Amino acid sequence: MSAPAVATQSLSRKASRNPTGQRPPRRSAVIALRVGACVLFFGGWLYLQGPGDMSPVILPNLEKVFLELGRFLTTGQVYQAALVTLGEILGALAIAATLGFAVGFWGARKNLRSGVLEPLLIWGYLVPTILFYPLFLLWLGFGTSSKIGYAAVSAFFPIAYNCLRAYQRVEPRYIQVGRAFGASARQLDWQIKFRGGLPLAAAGLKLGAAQAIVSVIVAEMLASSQGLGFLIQLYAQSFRIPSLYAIIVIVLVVVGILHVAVKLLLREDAPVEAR
Amino acid sequence: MSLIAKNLSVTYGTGSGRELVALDDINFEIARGEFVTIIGPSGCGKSTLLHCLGGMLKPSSGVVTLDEEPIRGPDARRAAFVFQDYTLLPWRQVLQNAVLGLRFDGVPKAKANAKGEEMLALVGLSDFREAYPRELSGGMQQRVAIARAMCMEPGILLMDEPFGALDEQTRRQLGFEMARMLSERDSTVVMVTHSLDEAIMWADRILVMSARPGRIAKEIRVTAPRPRTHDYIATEEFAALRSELFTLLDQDNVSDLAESVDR
Ligand SMILES: Nc1ncnc2c1ncn2[C@@H]1O[C@H](COP(=O)(O)OP(=O)(O)OP(=O)(O)O)[C@@H](O)[C@H]1O
Ligand SMILES: [Mg+2]
Repeated sequence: MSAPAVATQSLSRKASRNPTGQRPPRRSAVIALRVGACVLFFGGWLYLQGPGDMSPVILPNLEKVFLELGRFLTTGQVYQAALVTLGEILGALAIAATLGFAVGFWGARKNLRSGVLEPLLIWGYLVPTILFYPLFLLWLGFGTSSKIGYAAVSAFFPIAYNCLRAYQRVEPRYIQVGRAFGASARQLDWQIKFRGGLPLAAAGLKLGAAQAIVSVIVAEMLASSQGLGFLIQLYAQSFRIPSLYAIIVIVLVVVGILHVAVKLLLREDAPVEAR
Repeated sequence: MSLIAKNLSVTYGTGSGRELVALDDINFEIARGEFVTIIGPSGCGKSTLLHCLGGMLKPSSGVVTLDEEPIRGPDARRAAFVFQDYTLLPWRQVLQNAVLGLRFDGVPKAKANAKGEEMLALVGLSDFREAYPRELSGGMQQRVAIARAMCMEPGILLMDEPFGALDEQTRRQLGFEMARMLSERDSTVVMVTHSLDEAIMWADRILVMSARPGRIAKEIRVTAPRPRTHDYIATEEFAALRSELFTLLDQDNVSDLAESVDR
């Protein structure tokens, strides 16, 4: 144990404690490696389409892909599709997060409930929910609601399951402290249990977000008349390979934006304690 | 005011269906302003006893009363805890941890924070008010826990090895500070400790516990007036008490060991 001399400690907290003993990487090194990876990627592409003699059906001309991308970005159609897809993802995620959190938090309060719920949630988590997509099409039709409904169900399970786990095992020490220092039932619920389970619940939300993204795009590819998934399927069927690649790039960007948004939303000022 | 434990027993049901008698027929009375230390071998039920005194644990039989009123649940204004293990909330900054009880109690933010700052200054952590617990050493975290309890200005302070993770130097310095403040306020203190010196230095009375079942083996009164200074360590009284405690605990450890070999 270090010997903290009272009142003379400086506030220098620069050295970060890393259990593996590794230093955090230098930012310049990270950036250099990323740039290097990009160069390698596009260089490899150019090589394959030129001297490598790769079929343009597998690997289209890079220039054409960028031209298509430029065309997409200057016409309205793709924005409209991206908006549809993004709206479906966010709608599904909102429904799944609300229900998943409510079920997890409620279920974790009693052992009986969690005993009943846990295997069900694991089951729902493991079953490929795509099996039920045709049902959603029948119930909710060809439009956006079937995508939202289906993606909400797929995202619900990882969120609910992780919330259940999170709130089942909030450190008893923290609950003890809450009781000892006079927390009311509501304060105990929100300021101790809710907050204590948040890191794990947030991890569940991240999984749910990934699930919602995949589900919406796959659902659009399988049956729809709008959205990015629909465009992917359309261009693939009509062999418009450069357009297909350009859409994929746009999907990647949309997913990246969502990823950053979720990360910002769940930004942790105090990560799971190290002790 | 007096805090009374009467025929206090606690039996834990263990997972394997066996029962473990952690406390067996504990009786004592603590007067207002008295500083009582509890010492005994590991696992003898010191923490269990403290939890009962603070209303965190319902005894299997017997009662704890404060001014004839049985204690039914925790109340940090009446008795505030400094728990044995690290119990700061990792998502709250140091100051926000210190004022936890005040905020639960509905004290306005500004007023609570002012009180929190005062107590952090007492434990020498003013500079760290915005740090998170993970950024502090074990001893520093324990000092925040002390500040958190002191913020409540409790009638009784229940401390479970509060200085356990501190070095000798800090321990003594903080100990003197607190002892002075506690005796000024006429606070009643029950403190569990593993240190013989600490048990004697601050106490009006020492409760020596024996293990399995947890009993009070002996009560020792320390008559020298409080607060005491460093010089007290050099007195004959201190030396005599120390050797008495040492012998008591040594015997107890030996019988404890013999028992565990028996199994
Ligand atoms: N929640 C519990 N369930 C079952 N047994 C328990 C529980 N808490 C404590 N015990 C048992 O009760 C006995 C006394 O525990 P306690 O924590 O009071 O000891 P202690 O004197 O504080 O020990 P230490 O000095 O190591 O902190 C121990 O044998 C322990 O195994
Ligand atoms: Mg203990």
